[in-house]
Amino acid sequence: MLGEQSAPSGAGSAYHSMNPRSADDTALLIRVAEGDPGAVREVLSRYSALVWSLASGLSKDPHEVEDVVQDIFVDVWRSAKRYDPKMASEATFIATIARRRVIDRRRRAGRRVDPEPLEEELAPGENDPGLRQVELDDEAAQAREVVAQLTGDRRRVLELSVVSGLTHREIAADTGIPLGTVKSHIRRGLAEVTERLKARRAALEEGAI
Amino acid sequence: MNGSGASGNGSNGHGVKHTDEPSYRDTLAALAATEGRGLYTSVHLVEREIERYELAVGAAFAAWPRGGADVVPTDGFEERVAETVIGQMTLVGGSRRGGQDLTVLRGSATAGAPTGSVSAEQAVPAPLAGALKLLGALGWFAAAALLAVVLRGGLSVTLEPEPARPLDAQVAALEAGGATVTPWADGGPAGDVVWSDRLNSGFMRIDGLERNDPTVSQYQLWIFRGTDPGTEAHPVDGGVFDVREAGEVIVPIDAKLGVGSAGLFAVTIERPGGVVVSSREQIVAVAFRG
Repeated sequence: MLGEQSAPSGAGSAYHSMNPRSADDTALLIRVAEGDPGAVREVLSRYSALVWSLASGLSKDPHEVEDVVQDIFVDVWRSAKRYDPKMASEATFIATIARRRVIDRRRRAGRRVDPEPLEEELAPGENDPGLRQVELDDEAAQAREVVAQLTGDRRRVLELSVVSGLTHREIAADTGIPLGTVKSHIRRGLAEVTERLKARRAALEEGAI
Repeated sequence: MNGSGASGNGSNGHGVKHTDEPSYRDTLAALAATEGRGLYTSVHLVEREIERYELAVGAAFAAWPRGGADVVPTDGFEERVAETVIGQMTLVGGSRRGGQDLTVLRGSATAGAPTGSVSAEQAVPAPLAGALKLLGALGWFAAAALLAVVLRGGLSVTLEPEPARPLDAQVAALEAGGATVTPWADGGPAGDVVWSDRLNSGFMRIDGLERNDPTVSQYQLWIFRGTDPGTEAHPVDGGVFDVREAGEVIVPIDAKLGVGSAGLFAVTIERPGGVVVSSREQIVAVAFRG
């Protein structure tokens, strides 16, 4: 798979801010929530590449993908007032909203999306152009590490759940893994991500930034 | 758990264990988060946990290795998206910003002191698109009232002046957003739901619901993604509203979440302020959009 890298045009590099929690950035989503058009443009310039990359698996048609990206950013605006910088980085917050939309679309399209061919052989962070694209910030790096360490059933289960959006029952049916085990893989996998993010936040708050 | 560090002052001690002991709450939260019931719909007991988990899901989703996209945006993509979002902001204007409940606008096409008038020729051939275009020149209040008449095939209509609202963008957006008109099902009130999936926005026209006393109960709109409410535990909250006078009311829809594709709209009676999950005991209007 992996054709050559194709950075969304106009995406610029600004979206992976090195310092995602400066006062300015914290204020950005607040300004969006307040209806500031300038802030919307700023959010777009930072995160459109990320969101595009998350949505682009949905279709080969750029118009269709754009449609989804548009929906996602409308949602970002609608949800912006709920953003709590203590809970997550902007990128994580936006990715969370994006995931909802993307999976929603997949479900509605009735496509049981088996994401792109599984890439278990490919260690994340190596030659994966997609990954470079999703180079967000520290927080994503933490999540990426956790994801990279997943193996076997747990990895498979989490991928079906997180990326493909299958329900736990569907996963159990598809894989033959008992439902209880599916749930516990998911819970433990996610707990680990959560812990990492939390540890990261704690470190940040203690003055790293 | 607790500490529920909402804004969680803290660098430490939310006390979340991540041992291997299965925790019912964690499991529940993880389940809700991955299956899309998290973040802004709440399963009340564990909302905060769900949110925490859903953010983890989002982070993992973003971090998951995926192939380079072979679909690239076309020119002007970012600008178009920005325009849409900004158009939406304008659309909802002040009512969302303050976070108040929906404002109910009562159509006054047939009442009130007329000061302006629009002739039918302009409006009648109007399928929704044309009607909306025409409305672009008017304020929201007047626009909604006019639309009501136009869609009913009214011949000519007089309008009350309305404090200007920046509705042009809104109307254009709804039009461009491919809004559809879905009538309320038999047995319910007259009127319909105008809704655009793409914009996640629209409004309802309702004539025939009883007046409510907002201190006792309010109406609440629910938007289902499918057409079978029985299988959908968590429809999107479309906002609460009141019916204060007899006749038609026009209610902007304030969807609290992205709906995606709306399949069915239902109005229930709930306690003042509305609820997060409706018991659906009193459904007073349904529109099947399919």
